[in-house]
Amino acid sequence: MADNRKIPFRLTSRISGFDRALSEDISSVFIEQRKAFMPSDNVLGYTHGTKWHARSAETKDDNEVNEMQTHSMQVEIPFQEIIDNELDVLARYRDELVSGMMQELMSVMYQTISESANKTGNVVGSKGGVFKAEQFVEMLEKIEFGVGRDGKVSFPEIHAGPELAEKMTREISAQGPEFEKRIQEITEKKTKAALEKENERKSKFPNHDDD
Amino acid sequence: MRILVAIGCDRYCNDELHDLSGAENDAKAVFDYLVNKENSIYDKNRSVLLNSPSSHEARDALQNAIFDSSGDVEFCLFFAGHGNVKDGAYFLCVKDTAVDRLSVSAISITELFMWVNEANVRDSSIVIDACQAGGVAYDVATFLKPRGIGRFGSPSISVLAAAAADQEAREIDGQGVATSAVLKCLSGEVAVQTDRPTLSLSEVGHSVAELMRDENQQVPVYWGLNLFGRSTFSSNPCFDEPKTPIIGLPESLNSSAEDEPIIRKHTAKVWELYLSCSKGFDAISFLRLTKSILRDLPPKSTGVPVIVDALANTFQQLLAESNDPFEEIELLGSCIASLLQYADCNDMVTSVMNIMSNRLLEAIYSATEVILFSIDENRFSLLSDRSALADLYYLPIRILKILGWIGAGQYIAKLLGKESPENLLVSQKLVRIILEEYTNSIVAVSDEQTCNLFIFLCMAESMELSDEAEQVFGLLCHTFCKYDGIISSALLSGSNAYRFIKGRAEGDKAVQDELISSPTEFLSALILVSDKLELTDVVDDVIEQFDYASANLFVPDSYTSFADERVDNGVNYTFMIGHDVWCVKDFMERWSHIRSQLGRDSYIKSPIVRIGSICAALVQPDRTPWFVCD
Repeated sequence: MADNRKIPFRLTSRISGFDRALSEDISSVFIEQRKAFMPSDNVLGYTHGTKWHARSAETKDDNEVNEMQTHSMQVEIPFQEIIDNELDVLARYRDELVSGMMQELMSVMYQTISESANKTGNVVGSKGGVFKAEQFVEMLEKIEFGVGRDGKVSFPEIHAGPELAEKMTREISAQGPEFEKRIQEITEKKTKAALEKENERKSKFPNHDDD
Repeated sequence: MRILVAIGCDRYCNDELHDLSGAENDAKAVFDYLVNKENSIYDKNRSVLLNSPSSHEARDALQNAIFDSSGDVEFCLFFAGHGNVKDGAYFLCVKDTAVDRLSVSAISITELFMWVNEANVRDSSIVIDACQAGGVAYDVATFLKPRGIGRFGSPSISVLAAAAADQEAREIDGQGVATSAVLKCLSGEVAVQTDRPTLSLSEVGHSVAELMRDENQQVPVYWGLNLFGRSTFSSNPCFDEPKTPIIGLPESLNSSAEDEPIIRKHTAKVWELYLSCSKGFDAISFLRLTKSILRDLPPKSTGVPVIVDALANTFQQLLAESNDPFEEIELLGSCIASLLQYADCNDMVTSVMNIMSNRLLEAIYSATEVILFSIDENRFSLLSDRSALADLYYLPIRILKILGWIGAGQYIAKLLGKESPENLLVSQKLVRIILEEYTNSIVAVSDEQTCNLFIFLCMAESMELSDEAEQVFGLLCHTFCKYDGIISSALLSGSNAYRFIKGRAEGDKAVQDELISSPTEFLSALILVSDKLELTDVVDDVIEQFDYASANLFVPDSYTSFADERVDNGVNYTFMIGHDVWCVKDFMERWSHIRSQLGRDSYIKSPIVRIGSICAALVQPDRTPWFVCD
């Protein structure tokens, strides 16, 4: 709200310092919350440009260039709350800003996963919107397990709304030992495949030691 | 010796620079007013007028004026013609200038500044009526870069540029618009000021800007730094010889030759501070820089009042355009405070402090009126225009600063015998409107509010604001209790202010512990004022809440050192609630002992030392002038 008002004691540099500290605080809260569903290892930061091209091992597509998106959030603080020295406004501002940014980030993330799944055919349909245990097996069959930097296999995560999550748990628990055995076999097969793939990846290093 | 080089260039050989019709007229008219008039202050034999010169002729004339003179040179350049900004430097174009080779065929302002530095020219005034003339500022910026051509060493230079760096300078009827305004000032058609027999270029620039206020295509730019004393551009045709002699700085007084190297040594820092004023005037840095210059002067130097007067005039011109009317107050307060240690041992210093105190009083009244009008127009006008949340911490400080200066105005007016019912009425209105619109922002936040609350509450009764004082006291007392007597140290950095206010919001005592003021002078001020306002029962009711709280009163051995960054000699009178003080009465017993210590400082009897001490505390709010409550 820069204007030509006569404002006494602008304290410009001190107020800038205050704002910088506030921004840093908001940023650190945001990073903490983001870590809950996105490991810091998977976050890349760029200084220049608005596009990026990262050749993934899966698609090996040299033409795919991704473009950055701007996310913005608006939080309103009535002047009167500042004049009334309502200190709660500080936490409210920070929380609203962080949760707004998180929502934006998550929605973009799910959208990206969905687009990618559609493109590769990794989609499991449920007839009539009812979850069946057999669909869970199908999901597992379609997914490729990954291996983390620590060399351990990372198992897939299921992100679902509370209602669906409960239904899925109930449906899977209701299956017998035969179902469990099938799941275990698939998991073992996928784990082995993931480790083999990881080993193959590592073996490309000139001095890689198989042990 | 004052030399004018007036250049008017109408004729140009280069096709890209069209001929002009009024530049030579302008140069001649200015030359006539400055040199050919009877009361001229310029050397007629050395001053020159050049009509459409070549670059060689112009350079020769400038170099002769700057270098080939014995003794102190005061140099003035008037230029009318084409100007050009190229690669962040400004060039004056003359007859044979080629636009594609400006550095060799035009007069470079950077080069001119280098000559002025090299020749140690005592004072330079530069008037440029040419397009983009405000681009001269780029050359100053070049000098200030650490790896620049050299240190910009000129301690006394004033510039008046006819247009901003991106504007054309217009001619009407064979005369430059800006030169026409300058001539009105020189001829006396417009009175620039009537107090002194001479005019500085900054004063003329201010009047030219006023005259051209309606010119939306051409905004003149003027600035100047004058550390040797008052700069002189021309005689003043509107000077009113006073019937009674004015006690103050004599018109002709300049700093001596012994002071010159000291002034030159500090020039770059003064320039840096001067140029940083566009982001806001930093009174504490100004005070500390001024004191460091004064400290370096030889022991018997007469330069102390001259330098402070020069700095005050230089920065006052700059701050006249500021949107913060309290910047001028803080400037004058800093100047008065910087002279505190020399007060009463030098008549000239005392006299300058007196004059500045009067100017300060006027500035306080004027700012009070401006802020009152501003709140009347927009009740949120005291909020920062940069950040809303920062005002959770800074708005309570800002409000107390306003009240503090209003109280100081009353104190100074009483000492100077300048109390005025009209001004008092404006102050009363402002205090009332602040209380009405910003009640909940009168909050105990920081120890830097102490001197402000103390001065205001001590002076409230004499301002017929007893009820309002009671309300302010009640609000501060209430919030001090609400936050368990925890307030921040004075002058916290912005980031620490954020940590403090966040800690306060979240009740995080650990964070606040690092940043709180302990012992605090705030509590001492509240207790002392409660006695003055006859509100001791309010404090006695809540004092147990502050069991174990430490409070302090710092009293210097001599108030003449009260403006020092750190006052070395003095006593901290510290007491702990619940150990040596249980009620206001206990405190007042200790206060009577402290008061007797205050009385031992003979300097404090001097009104000017009192004014200086108040200014020192209001500019550097980590100290409190306790004598105000007497």
